[in-house]
Amino acid sequence: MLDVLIREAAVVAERVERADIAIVEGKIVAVVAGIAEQAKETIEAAGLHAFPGVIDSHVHFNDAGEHEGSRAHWEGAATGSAALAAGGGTLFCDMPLNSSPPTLTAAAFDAKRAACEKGSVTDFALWGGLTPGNLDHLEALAQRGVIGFKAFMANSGMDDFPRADDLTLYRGMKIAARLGLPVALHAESEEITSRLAAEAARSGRGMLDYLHSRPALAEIEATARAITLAEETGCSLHIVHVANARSAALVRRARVNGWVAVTCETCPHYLALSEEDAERLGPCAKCAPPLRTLPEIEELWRELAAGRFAFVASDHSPAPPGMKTSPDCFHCWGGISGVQSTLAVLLTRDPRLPLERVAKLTAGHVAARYRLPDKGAIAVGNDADIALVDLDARYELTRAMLLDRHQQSPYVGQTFRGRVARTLLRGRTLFLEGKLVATGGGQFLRPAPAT
Amino acid sequence: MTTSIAAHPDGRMAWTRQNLLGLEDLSAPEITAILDTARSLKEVSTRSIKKVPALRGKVVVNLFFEDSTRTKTSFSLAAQRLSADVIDFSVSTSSVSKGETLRDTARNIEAMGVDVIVVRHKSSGAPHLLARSVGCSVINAGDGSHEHPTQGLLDLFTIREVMATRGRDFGNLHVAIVGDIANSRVARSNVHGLIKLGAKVTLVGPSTLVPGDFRRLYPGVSVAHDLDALLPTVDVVNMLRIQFERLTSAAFPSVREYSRFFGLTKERMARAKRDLLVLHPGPMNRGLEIMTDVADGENSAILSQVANGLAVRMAVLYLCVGARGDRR
Repeated sequence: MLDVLIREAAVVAERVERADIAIVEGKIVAVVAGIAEQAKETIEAAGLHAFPGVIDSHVHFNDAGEHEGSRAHWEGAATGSAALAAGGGTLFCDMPLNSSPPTLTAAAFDAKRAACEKGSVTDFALWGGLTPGNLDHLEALAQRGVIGFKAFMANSGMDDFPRADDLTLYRGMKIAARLGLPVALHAESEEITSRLAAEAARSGRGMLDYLHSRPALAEIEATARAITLAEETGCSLHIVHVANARSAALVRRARVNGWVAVTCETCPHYLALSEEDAERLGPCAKCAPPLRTLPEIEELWRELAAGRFAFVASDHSPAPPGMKTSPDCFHCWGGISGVQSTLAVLLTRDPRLPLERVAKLTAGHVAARYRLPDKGAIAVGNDADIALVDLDARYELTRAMLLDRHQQSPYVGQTFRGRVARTLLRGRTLFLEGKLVATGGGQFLRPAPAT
Repeated sequence: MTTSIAAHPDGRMAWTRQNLLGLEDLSAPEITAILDTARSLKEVSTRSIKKVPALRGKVVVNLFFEDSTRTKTSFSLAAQRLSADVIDFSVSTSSVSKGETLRDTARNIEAMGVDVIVVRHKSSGAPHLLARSVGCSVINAGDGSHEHPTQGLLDLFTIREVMATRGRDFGNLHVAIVGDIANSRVARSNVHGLIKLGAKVTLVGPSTLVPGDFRRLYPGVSVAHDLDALLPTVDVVNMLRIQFERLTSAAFPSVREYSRFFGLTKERMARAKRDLLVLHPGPMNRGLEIMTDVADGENSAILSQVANGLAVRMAVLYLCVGARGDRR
């Protein structure tokens, strides 16, 4: 007797094939057409595509439990994971900053893990931070089970998460290499961006002024510097939220010619939104690096199609709406709330990306990169983390559909292809026909050991 | 036979150690002493009766905390050819609880009247600990990612033997060691030995396995990440075994990518000097770091390495026991 049987789905794996998926105790036990065995729960999925549950490797849910100064009025694991599940997601990797305290010590890690175990409806993994003050804590964070260390080359905007100067980065990378964990970098040049921001302060404070204070050059210069440090230390490096094609090309060259273990990701908003959108939407479309021009977006899609990005992550970075209202675009909160729409953005730009590629970009490559055991693919032995998607359905995203706390998605009003009909985590349905149908139950995941 | 060994008085004089723990500690004359002694002992294996009475009445114990069929067999055979008695003392790795047990085990063995302990252990420095705890000779057969001195010596021996026929010595050789340098005891012993004998050494691999700052760790050594660019300048290439689990766990780079950039293929050999000497410490992953047609091709000295390993281990046993001054 099976626990769950998903019948006649078009399963997106190495190829797309019509098959049944058998699930026992949360694990996939068979993926094959015509399973006759009875199941406690049978899901008729004819006409639907079964994608591996989205793994969002880059979110800021900011949940460190409730205590004095804990930013408990920010997103949180419950609403953040609900929105993720609504977008077909089953696992998030939470960034160490914007939560209070930031994840810089074992104690802060424990607080965040407890808060996420309490609130999250999806599974989760955690990033540790790498800052000038906490190099002595990296080993303890590794023992706790972080998937890697996040550092900023530019000002993070948070006083409790200072940027890593080059020497700190070098020393941190040496430690990370020894611990067998990657370093994930926000790669923008502090010198270029801070000087341009200061110059802009004398001219204008609008959205376009902000955008132009963070040119692609700032990304490219910092990326090249980070690659040098990775080569020197042997550290495995990942550049987060790359917003331009030249940085991706640099990463590619370093991998192939210099043989540095470096990868990069981009975000849905860099693929779906332009400078014009930023002007129209205002602060809800503010992020760093910023949105770019239409020709640059075209280049990003070409890089994505060519396999230059290991995966796509939302960089969901919400804040209470009050922090997004200042007319001074340099002052208001930077961060886009898009956790619900990653799969939607990738599926809507058909037919550039084959569905198999979409599955790798949203799940398979993330699980491989961060050694997330039994995740990332619809395959026998893996967790039954599955998004059932109706690719024929088109819908306009409305604010009412959003399940995150502040509902500030820049995609509201856009028409998308591919409605998520159902999301399952370890065989349990989390999200069904527009509604969250589960609470809690998310489990902490630590990376598989390096050896 | 004893006269034939004594025919190398320089070597005998240069060697005063009762233990062989690593090549890092040795001087160039000491390394040369072992290689010279091995050269005279290699001939024993070609006789119809492959045995000399050099260590008759001596007892050699193989104390292996890690599985290793080849190295253990090679040491056993080496001891037997010198007429020593050999005992394998296998220790199940699960029952080992570090320092105390290791020391106690060794002392128990020593109390049985043993002359040499050949030890392999997963922890770096275990043979050194042992050598401080017992009075008999201790020979390191591989400790963690630290050293594997007899493998280093047999590689040196093989290089020297081949290059001697071409009238070349270490002073004008360029040796590339390719693969997981960061975790390889074979690489470490090779680097120490090659540098001491005057060779130019380049470490080659992806930066995760060969970080740039190895240039500082081993002064005089070069680091490269592009095998194709380097290959035309190289006289000897030592292809290390790639441990799958180390690559797959890092996911990027993948095993497939590794093989594409660093695997020794026939096509890649076309870029190299025609008489490039190809070494591999074994066991090989054919089709991964080395292709079958290269491993079995005319540039390969991989099978000579195995034969030379025997001679080198005979020499090490002979010299270390001799240094204790009580050889019968």
